[in-house]
Amino acid sequence: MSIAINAALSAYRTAAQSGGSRSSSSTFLDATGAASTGLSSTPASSFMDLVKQGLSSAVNTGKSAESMEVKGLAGQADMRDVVLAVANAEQALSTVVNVRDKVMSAYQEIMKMPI
Amino acid sequence: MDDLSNASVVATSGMQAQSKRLRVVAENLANAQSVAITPGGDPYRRKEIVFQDVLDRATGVKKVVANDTVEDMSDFAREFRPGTPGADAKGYVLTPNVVPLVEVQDMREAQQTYQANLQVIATSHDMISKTLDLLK
Repeated sequence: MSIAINAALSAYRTAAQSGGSRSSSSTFLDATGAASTGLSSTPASSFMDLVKQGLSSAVNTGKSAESMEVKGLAGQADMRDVVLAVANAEQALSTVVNVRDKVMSAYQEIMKMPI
Repeated sequence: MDDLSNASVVATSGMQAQSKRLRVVAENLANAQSVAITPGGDPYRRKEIVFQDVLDRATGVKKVVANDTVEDMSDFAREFRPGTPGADAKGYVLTPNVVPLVEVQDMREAQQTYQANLQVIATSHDMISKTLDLLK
């Protein structure tokens, strides 16, 4: 989870930097894959990396939670370990979803801005 | 892993240890009347659990583990019960060294420690989700 938060922080930093250099819209268009101008590829890849990294860590946590659930149902794992694994998976997913929602809403705010 | 997640991991080990303790208490209470079955034989001997701190290398925090149980070597009680198969020539039978009052107190302590650890998990999850709520 701390990986996701650190990646989110760096993404926010690059978003703030690119906002100052008038290339924020191309950054986020790159990120969503809608258009690619090739002007600023670094921030775009960092946002992509953020989502990818966050999602894959959330998926991994979810997978380990699932295997714990199976073990728990078979009576091989401790009930408390199963509960903790499922709670961790839920938390990892909500972290990724929250960060994505926040970045997407920031992008939409920028797009709504009258030029 | 950040510290709040580690707190949950430690508290989980505490809950596991207290569950084992409650299991031992249950064994003691259930066998409080398990007398000797042969003359001169031993009745049920009270068990006790020993906790130990152990370093979890993955997270670098100290967890608690419940080691194997040890036997309480205090003396058995004697009861005059001439009819039972374990009675000696004078009609006395050895009874377990389990004191129900002590077991019940142990049980309450296990329950309260379990709840305290549960509260640690609930608080750490609450703190994490409150932090995430800042994004909304």
